[in-house]
Amino acid sequence: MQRRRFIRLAAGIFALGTANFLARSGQAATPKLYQRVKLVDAQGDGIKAATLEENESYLFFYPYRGTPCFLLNLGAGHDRLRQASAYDNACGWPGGVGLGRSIVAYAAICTHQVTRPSPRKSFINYNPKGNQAGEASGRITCCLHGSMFDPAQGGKVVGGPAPRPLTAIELEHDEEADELHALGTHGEEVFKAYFKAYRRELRQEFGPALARQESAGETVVMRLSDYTKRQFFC
Amino acid sequence: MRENISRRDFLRRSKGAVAGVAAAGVLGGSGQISQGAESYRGTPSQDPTYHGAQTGPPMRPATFVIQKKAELPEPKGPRAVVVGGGWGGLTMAKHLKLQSPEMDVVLVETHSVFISCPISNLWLAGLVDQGFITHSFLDAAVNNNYTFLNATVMDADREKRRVYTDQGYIDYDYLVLAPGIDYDYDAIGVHDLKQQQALMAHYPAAFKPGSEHLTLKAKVENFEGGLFALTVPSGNYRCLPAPYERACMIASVFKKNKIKGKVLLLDHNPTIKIKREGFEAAFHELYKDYLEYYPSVSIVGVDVEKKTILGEFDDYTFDDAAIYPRIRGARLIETLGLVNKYSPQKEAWIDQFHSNVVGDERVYVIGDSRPTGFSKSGSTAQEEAKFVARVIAGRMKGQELKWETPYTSCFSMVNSDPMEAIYLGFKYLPPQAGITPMAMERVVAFWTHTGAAFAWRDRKMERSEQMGEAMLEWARVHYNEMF
Repeated sequence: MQRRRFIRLAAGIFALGTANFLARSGQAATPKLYQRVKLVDAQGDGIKAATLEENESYLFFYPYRGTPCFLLNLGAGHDRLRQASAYDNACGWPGGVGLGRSIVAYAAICTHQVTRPSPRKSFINYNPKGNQAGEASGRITCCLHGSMFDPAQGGKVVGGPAPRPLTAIELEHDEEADELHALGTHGEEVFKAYFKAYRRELRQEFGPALARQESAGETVVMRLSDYTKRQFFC
Repeated sequence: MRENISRRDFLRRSKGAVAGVAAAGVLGGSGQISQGAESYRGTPSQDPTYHGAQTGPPMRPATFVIQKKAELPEPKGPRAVVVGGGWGGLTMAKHLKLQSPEMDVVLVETHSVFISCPISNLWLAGLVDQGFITHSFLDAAVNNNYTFLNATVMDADREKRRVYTDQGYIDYDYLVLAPGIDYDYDAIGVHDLKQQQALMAHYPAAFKPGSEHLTLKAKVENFEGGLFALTVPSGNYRCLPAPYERACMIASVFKKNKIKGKVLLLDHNPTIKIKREGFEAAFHELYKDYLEYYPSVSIVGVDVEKKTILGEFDDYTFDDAAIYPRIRGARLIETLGLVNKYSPQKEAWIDQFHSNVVGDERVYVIGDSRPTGFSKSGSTAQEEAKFVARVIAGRMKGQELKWETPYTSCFSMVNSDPMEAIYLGFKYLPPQAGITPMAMERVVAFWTHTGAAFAWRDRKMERSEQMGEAMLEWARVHYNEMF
């Protein structure tokens, strides 16, 4: 059993043990589990968490073959304390993983109008530097209508019309191998609306009936800039 | 011999018509949104029979009566009948059901397939395929829990609360009319019915989607050279930037295919009516050799056989054309006796704050048959429908809503390679004492109320690929709202 999973189970059982566990069991909802899928590179080798570049936007498809997710290494500064504050948000996001606890993943689908990265373009992006006005730094922004989410706080909405946080992806980090697996989702999902909105495009991009299949075994991690032709920031 | 210089020749000589535009544009000032001003002039607010009585159009019995009930299951709650499956009607049907789940909603539409007028100019230029703008009414009804009836409304009896269709009658608790527009060929001097029919068939306006658009698409694709005439009508016509956008898109096809042809854009207005800077730049920079723009052309007739548009001062012969006449409220509004006698475009007599027929809170008119100075656009109709659905739901519970402005979000594609668009978003001032609501002159910021300060929130007159892609996303979001 992986360490984190163990901790979570233990948290349920020994909730009264420590204050830390108390906080966790009080707020952290159990994820909605999907298949345990290994994050691999184009060659099929497991992605090493340590090789994920800070502030680079990576993309993988999970929990369905046609649902895109951001994989981000938020870098230093996102210490345990900051992540602990995430327990306050409603979706019960457990924080980042990896040695610095700085690796996070979210469905790359805006909760407002299900904007997504497509091979053609992406209006929803992680924006480490921020815009000219000095805003949006470190946010995931959807430039269609100006929604902003904080990836360091469970995808919490910090601006714009989005009604809900981004759906967070539960990651598992194997410390020995330094590899990552996706396990499930935290928070409300928008996949149903997403599949309805993009029925036509997904059929063209993924082939008939493929996009809605659950991801299984492994899923390839790529740079968002390699997947999408144009990223639009705001 | 005195040289006879026609106005048209003069424009040609002054370094081409496009240069003429620039001059006119400067004189025209910076007013971006001037729609409606003409249409709503002269509604006498002092007329006691109009405002004083508050009775509205008189109820009268239907002249088309069918004894058979339409074949619909018995409603389990109050029944709302929405007439017209365009942007307004589809949004209305969905939101009535969302606002009042107990309501039984029937959408009556005369077409069996939905073809979108917004985005159709992109389709003309091959930027999106037919499937992108074509949708099924059945999907809309199934996904949004209402009933679709493919039928044509013939008449209504407001006293009996009964609407008559060619498929039988339907009794309603609420009737929402969203019948759109009809063309007014008389306004461009084409009075003879034979001439009107010929004009409609040979050079359709293509602002009522369906066969008109298919015909226009084939015209554009098969055009071999010469002048392709488009016209911009007077008044508050459907989709103010559309004729200019269409001119750009057709010119882009000629440019791409190296057709020795030009778009001849004849505008009733003294200058480009909306998004002037954006269109002017496109005309100058992208289509100098493929587009000629003539402002202030009042059309007084069309000779279909001779392929000639008769202007007040000059005649314009063309090789092919899509002639957009003045528009009016849908004929159904007139059939039902609901025309506002002060509307120069035969629009409906409604309370402009809540959209019900004056004196009848069971019947509403939304979309392009409204007399309000809103932009006659899909986006506006959607926003308006959402509000009026709330008005009806509120009234069912005895509550009265305060007027809210729709937000018009308006993209225009001006370049096809690469795809580049311009953008304008705006809100409206409240209607003035039931008379002349004017569009806000100043553009309001996009999402101002959200507090998000993003760079492209208001008007984007510099064409960009980002706006081009955003336009496609806009379409997706708006179609998704209806289907």
